[in-house]
Formats: sequence, structure tokens, C-alpha cells
Amino acid sequence: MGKSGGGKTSMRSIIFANYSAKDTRRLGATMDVEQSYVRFLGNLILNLWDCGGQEAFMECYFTAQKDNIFKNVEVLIYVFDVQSQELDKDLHYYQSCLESILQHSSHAKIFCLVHKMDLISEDMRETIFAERQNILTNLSKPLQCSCFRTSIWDETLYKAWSQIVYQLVPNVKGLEKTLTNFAEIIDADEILLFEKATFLVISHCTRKAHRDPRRFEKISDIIKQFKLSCSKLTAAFQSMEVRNSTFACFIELLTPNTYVMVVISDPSISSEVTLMNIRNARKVFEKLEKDVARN
Amino acid sequence: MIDSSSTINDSGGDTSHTPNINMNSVIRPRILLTGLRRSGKTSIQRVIFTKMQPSQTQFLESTPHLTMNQFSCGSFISFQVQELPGQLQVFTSGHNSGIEGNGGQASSYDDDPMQSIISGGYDMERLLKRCNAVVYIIDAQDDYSESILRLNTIIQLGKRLNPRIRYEVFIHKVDQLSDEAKIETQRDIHNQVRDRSADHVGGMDLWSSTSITPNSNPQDILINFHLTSIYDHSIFEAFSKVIQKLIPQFGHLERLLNLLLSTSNIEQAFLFDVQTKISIATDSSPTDMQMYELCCDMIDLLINMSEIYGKPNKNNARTIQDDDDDDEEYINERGNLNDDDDDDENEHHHEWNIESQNETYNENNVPLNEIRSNSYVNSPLSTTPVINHRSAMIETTSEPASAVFDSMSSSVIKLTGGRALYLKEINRHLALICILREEALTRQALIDYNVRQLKKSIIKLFRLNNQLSRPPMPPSNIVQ
Repeated sequence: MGKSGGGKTSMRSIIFANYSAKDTRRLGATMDVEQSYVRFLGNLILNLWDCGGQEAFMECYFTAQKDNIFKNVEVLIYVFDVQSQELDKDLHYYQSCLESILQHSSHAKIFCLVHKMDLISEDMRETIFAERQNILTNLSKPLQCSCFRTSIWDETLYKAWSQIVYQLVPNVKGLEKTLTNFAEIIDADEILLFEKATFLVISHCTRKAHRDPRRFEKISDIIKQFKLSCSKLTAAFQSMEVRNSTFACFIELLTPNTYVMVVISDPSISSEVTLMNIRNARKVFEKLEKDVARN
Repeated sequence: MIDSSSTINDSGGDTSHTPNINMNSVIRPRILLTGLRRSGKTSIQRVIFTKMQPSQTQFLESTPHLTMNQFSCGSFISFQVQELPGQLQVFTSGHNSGIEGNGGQASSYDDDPMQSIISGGYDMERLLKRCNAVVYIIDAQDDYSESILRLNTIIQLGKRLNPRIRYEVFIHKVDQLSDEAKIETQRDIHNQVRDRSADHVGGMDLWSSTSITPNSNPQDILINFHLTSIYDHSIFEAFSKVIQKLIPQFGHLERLLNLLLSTSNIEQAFLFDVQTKISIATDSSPTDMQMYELCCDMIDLLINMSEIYGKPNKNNARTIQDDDDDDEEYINERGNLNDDDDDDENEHHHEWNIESQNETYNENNVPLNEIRSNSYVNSPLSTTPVINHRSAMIETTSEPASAVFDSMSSSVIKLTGGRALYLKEINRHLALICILREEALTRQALIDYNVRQLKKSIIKLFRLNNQLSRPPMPPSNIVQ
């Protein structure tokens, strides 16, 4: 949810429908509520409700459609336009929204995205975001909310959505444990697990400290970009290997719904060995996925 | 492919017959970039060479005076772009032509941008005489009749002064036009240019847009049209074509790539400059724009991933040091362009530079290194200019190459539909990208081996080409 023109549909299209940031200019305003079902991790179906932000609709959400909209909500994502001139009004709607959530699905997790950060000059971003975050956390009490600064033009979008999606992945702990195990066996510096369709990081294991804390989002962004250019050739990205003298990095399909990325810095380990290890790990992860599905 | 020595001997022989081409490789190929004001000359340069975001170019000021930029596109290929501002009238008076007389001096004089600016007018005659290609930019979104008029003036002037100039017309800013309009505009401009230039020579049809053999008929005008925009890859592709025609080694590179194609079951091969994403050579099969784009994106992917996970290795510090030296080197070089006796200190300098250059290559380069230093030690003093020129060619880089692109950089990307991309480092500026069927990758060892041979050949090819005025090394010396 969020104000009209806030960028909700753009965001959704980039993450789930492989739009490029430029393509979102073509999107029109969302009328009423647009429901979409997104298959995530194969058998997990996300039911996204993209709620049009025009005031007429907003009023309606909190009155006539209240039950319909706020029942069985797992995650509320509220998008704020950082440049909005009417912050008070935005906050007012946000508050109404929270009240309804509290009433109908109090266990829902709340995410606030301070969007269109690219329009703020680089040095101001930090302070403005901190300020907004403060207001929002205070306002959200007694509920907990997580705030993210986002922009469709850089990798911050992926960071926020990775966190959101992370809350929804079943058996996160089991997945993480298996991943750590795998990393130790093949002596990898780092292993990331991506969801296949969105290339969001759903789990990771880091065995060697890395200097860049934003790398996961960056990688999602890089691969997404490349996937887009592949699609122009009516071919799809399948697997990748990149190396130089200090590292080797492999991205391979792991299960039908996930990609794995393995980073190795030991140059004496040949590509074939790692690729074989990944192939062998497939069975374990597939089994894990099936177990989750059965439960 | 396996027997790469024969190719090398070929190339060595060829170059010795064409001293002109050889000269070009030493004195940088010059590109004169011109067009009416606001046609996008500076933007093009910024986007290609300094990686400016296309959207940022709208803030660029117009260029008030003639500017010259040295660019190295890969360590072995360098060229100079002279940007002639659009709002100035074309000067045809020869008030500077006195300097033209002693050719040697003029070249060093020309290399000095300050001097040229001070010298006042933009003497078109002198610029045309000294340049190898004219890139003329026409704003397709504007009324282009005035622009074509000016282009024709330049062509007429050029025909008289320097018939070997290539004209590359960029029909620019076509991103807003529909596909149909693009073709229509190109045809219209093509016709207008042809008609006018035919008028000038008394209606005789001396037009030959397809001629690719310079000097076969001095009155042929070598002209090509490209549809370009900075908002997609078309500008890179067009500039690649311009550069490819100016690189004296292009024919040999093409032949080498063709050979690789046939021996390794590869569909297409590109040789890219990693920094600018200009492809300096391709095999002779027709290139697909979309494939070119994908290759560019692959380079982005490789560099971005390497920047995240590749450690800035210990060579990093040295590279920067190298580049510092380069500038110094370049200044020396300019001073000494016609002055062949270098002092001893300079010589040591060069030797050191050459060694450090070779260090960045891998084990397969060691034999070359040995030969290089051997020949250096054995050669009499008269060979110093060779090394002098060579090191100048290599080291006058406009920017340091990416620190994470090193001798082990490589990448394989598989796509659905059985296609795969294969990238391998050639030297610290160049990368080879091959497009092949996935089946061919099952014998990757063979490809690896052949690419290694190709890499050696390319490095040798450039090295041989840079030995001007000296007979090519005896083959026995090279093949070891």
C-alpha cells in the first residue's frame, strides 16, 4: 500500500515481472486492488495485493473493503514517496492502515519502504532516511516495523525485498544449516542461495569476512541486468562461471526453484571439481525442499 | 590454429611491404570528430571513453575550441580524437602551412594540444592532411541540410588534400525515431551527400560508397553511414567499426579469429577492449547487433563480479605506478619523436617498463619475454627507437585498466537453447569473447589451448607490427 504514484507497481514489476527500471515508465496508475499470484520457490505462492493509492480508493479500503483487504495479511508493505509534499496525510493513511491491521491480522509483519531515494542528493540520503525511520517506528507502536530506503535505479530495492521475502521462506534454519555444511565440505568462501525467478537472496553462508556488506543486492542486480539482456535474444540465462587470479565464482541451478552461487578463492581447486560438488549437492537440497513442501 | 607460427611469419612479411601502415601504428591514427554545434560530439566521447551515463550528457557545455584527446584502446592500439567545435567556420586559409614543410617537426607539433590552440585558427587543411578518418555527426532530429552542406565542404577539401581519408557519417540521436524513419533518414542523407558531391566534380559519378581499397582510385570517396544513439549500444558498435578500419593489424586479427572459429567449432568471435567496450576485431561473419550487446553486458558482468569478489591484488599498486611512469614516458616520447638517440637513463627506463609489462602476462609468455630481452641486449643502438616507440604505444593509456581484470580472468556463461559465451583475457586491456554451441564446450580443453595460442599470436602480432623500419625478426627467433 501507499500513496498514488509512490512506485508500488513499478517495484512489483521489476522484482516479479522482469521489467527493467526504464520500462516502468510505461506503467499506468493502478485502479482499485490488483491481485497477482506469484510463484515463489516453486510451491510457495505469494498473493500480492497491489492497492491503488488514489485517495478515493484509500478511503474505500478503510471503510467498505476493510474486512476484505486486511484479513489474513502476512506482510504489509507500505511505500512512502520520499519527496511527498504531504507527509502528514501519508502518515495519517499509514496510521489508519495500521489500525486495520491490528484489528484483523495482528501477527502481520510490517515493512516501510522509503522510496525514490534516488531523487535525494547523495549526502542528504542518510539524514533524511534516519529522520523518517524515527517517525515511522514511533508511529507504528505497538507493532514493529522495519524500514528500508529504496530506489528502483539501484540495488537497494533488492535489499529490501530480500529481507521481506526472507520472512516468508519456510524452513530458513534448515536451509542455512545445510548451506553451511555444504560450504565447509567444498571449502567455499561464500555461498548464496537465490530464488530462481526473482534472483533475490534467500539464504547465505559466509565463511570469510567480506568488505562489502551490500554485495548481495549488487549481485542480484547484476544478474538481473544480464538476464534482461539475454531475454532480448530469446535465450535465458542458465549458468555462469567467472574467475580471475584471486577468485572463482559459479552460479548454477541447484533445485528447480533456486540458483546457488559459490565463491572460492583457492586457485588450486579446478572448475570441474566445484561443478561436480554442486551437482552432488543438488540431491540434498532437493530433498530438503520436498520435505518442506510435505509439511 | 595449433601451428600459429606460420600466421605470424605471414604478418611479419606483410607489414614489411607496407611501411605506410606501419607508420600509422607508430604515429597514432587520428580521428577528426566534427559536426554542427549541439550535434553530440562531446557526448559521444564522454559516453564511450569516460563512461559517462548517457542521461548526464545533457548537462555538457558546448565545446569552445579544438580539443584533442589521446585514447588507448587496448595497450597496442592508440589513436587521437580531435574534436572540432561545430560553431566555428571552416578555415581554409593556409596560414600555418609553412610548418607543414618539415613533416617530422609538424607531427610533434601537432601532438601538442596547447600549441595548436595557441596557433589560432582551426586550419582545416592541416587537420585534414594529418587525419586518417573524419567522423562527421549529423543530428537526425534536426534539419540536416546545413549539416550536409558542411560535410560536403569537408569532403571536397579532403579529396584534394588527403584522398585516403575515410568519412564516417554518424546519423546521430536516432533513438527517438521509428525504425522506418531511421531507414528513411539514412537514405535521404545518403542521397543528398551523393548528389552534392557529384555536383562538385561536374556531374561525374565518382561515387563509391562500398570501396574498401584505398588508393585504387584516388577519386573514390570512402564514406560510410551509421545510425547511432548514445542511449543504446549503437554508438559503441559504430565507433568499433571506425576503429577497426584504422587498425593496421585488423586484417590479421580477423584472419586469426577466423582460424580459431574453424578449429574450435565456435560460431562467432569478438576481440573487445574491456575499458571502452569497443570491439577492435571480429571474425569475418556478419555481426549481430544483439550479440554485440550481449558481449558488452558480459564484460560488465565480469568486471562487476570481479570487483565484488576479486581482491585488488598486489599488482594493483604497481599498475598505478606504471601509469605514472607512462605519462613521463609519453612526454619523453614526444620530445624524442624525431630524435633517435636516447640517453642511457631513458634506456633503462624502457627496459624496466617492458619487463613489468610482461610480468602481467602468464607463464605462456615467458619465452617471449626472454626473446624480447635477448634481442634487446643483442641489438645495436639503432634499435632503441623501436623500443621507444613500442613502449610509448603500450603505456600511453588514458586510464588504467580495471585492476580486477587480470591474466586469469575468464568466464563461461551458458544460455538456454544450447548457446554459450566464452570470455578469456588476451592482455590487460583486451578480452576475447566467443559465442559457441554448448556441445563445443564439452571439449573446453581444446578451446582453452587454441585460445592460448591465439593469445600468443596476437601479442606477437602487435609486437612485430611495432617494429618499424626494421626487418621482421627471423622466424626461428620467434617460434621458440
